[in-house]
Amino acid sequence: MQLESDQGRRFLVIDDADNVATLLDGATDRDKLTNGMPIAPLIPFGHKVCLTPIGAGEAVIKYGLEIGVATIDIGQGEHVHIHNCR
Amino acid sequence: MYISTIAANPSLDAYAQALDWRGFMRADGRVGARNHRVVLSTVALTDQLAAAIAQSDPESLCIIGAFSRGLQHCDDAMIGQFLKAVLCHPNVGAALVITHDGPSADQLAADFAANATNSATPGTAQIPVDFLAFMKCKGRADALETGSQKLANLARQQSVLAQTRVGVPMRAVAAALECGGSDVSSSICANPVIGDVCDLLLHNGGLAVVSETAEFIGAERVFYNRCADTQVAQKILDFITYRADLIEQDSGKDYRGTNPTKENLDGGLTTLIEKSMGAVCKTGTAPFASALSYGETPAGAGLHFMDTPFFSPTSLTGMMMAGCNLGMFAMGVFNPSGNPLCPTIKICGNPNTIADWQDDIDVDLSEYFLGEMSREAAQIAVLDRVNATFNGALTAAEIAGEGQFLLPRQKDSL
Repeated sequence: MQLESDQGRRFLVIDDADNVATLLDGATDRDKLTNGMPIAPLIPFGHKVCLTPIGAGEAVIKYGLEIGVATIDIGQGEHVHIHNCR
Repeated sequence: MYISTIAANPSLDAYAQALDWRGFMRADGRVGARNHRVVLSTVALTDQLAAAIAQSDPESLCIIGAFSRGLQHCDDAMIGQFLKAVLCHPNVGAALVITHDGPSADQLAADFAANATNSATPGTAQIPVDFLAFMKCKGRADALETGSQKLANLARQQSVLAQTRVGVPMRAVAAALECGGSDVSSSICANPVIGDVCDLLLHNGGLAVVSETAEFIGAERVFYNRCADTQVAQKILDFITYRADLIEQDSGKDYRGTNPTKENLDGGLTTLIEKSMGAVCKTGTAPFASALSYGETPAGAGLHFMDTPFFSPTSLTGMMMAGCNLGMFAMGVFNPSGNPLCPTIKICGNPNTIADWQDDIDVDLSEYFLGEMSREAAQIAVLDRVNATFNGALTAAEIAGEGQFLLPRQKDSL
């Protein structure tokens, strides 16, 4: 039997070129995506998670477009928002 | 024939090629997804009479704009442009035009006749049209009786003309792209899927129009990189700057400085371009062929930008005037917008909205939002509804009688 805590969080990647995904549920206690990729806990519903490492100064890509620039290095699975992207 | 360079998902394209598209061919080459017999009120004074006449014919569609008199030239001209756009709209098969006074009816009849002889250009539908001047009638009962008789006569003329659906290529679709009640679901679910279907339609030589200029503040770079030429790009940027300045003058706040709002930030939007892209992505990836003023008719196929206010009924009216024969409307929270002359397909991915409003939404993408439906299945769900709607299936908005005709006003009345 699969425990509730073993399940991953639902997410959506809009474009193949994107390096972030949008989280589709509010299960903020879970620490991985449904595909098994580990992510930081506590990322809210509708927020972005980093799919591949983004170096400081590199583009954050959603919709296949640069929607912002990383202000510090962002690791895979980390929350991407105003604290590390502008 | 229009040769498109826009890429479309090959398997979606293969699926689409197998669909039948059946519409009403008009004299100017445009195709209707509907064959409305309209009762068109040209001024607020005749709105009530037009509604009463339309009631005599359950198959008619009454078009009421609450149009004012005593407007300055630019606003008065907009009403004239609206009336012409309706009479030439591909979804109109016959029209009874109601004016207040005799000279107005004579003038409109002369304009229509002059236009109808010039059949090579868009806007010359050559459909049966009749005119009724309220003031020329001998009392209310006579006005109602005369109008109803004229409407019945138009129905007979349509029957004699045998206006029926015929097989048409997919490029007959002219889509209005709209979003309202936007939320995280519409920005990552309904809008991107509409963008995929838009790419498909344009790949096949169709036409699409997007509007609501204020939604695109912050996405200037995207438009700049997606225009057919720098003149089109500059025109779109000028439209965006104009609306951003209007907002700033009215609110005293710089839109770019106050967006994303705190609510947006709490919702997960990090930058203004990310917020704007939620709306831009419904246009897919095609280059913008032109930048249109409100209600303007595009010169040809492809993707067109139209400068409109952000209120959905007003922007939908503008895109209807451009000749769009159906609309794709993405919503997050429910929104009862639709244009009665441009059947508007409501598409939603928010499971909570679907739970409450299933009876008034056309395409349910909540399974895609929940990760239980593939992107391709979502594309097919939208495309199937576009195809069915084009071929005559009623939209939820048509069944409910939702929607209205609203024009923007620029100046104070005289």
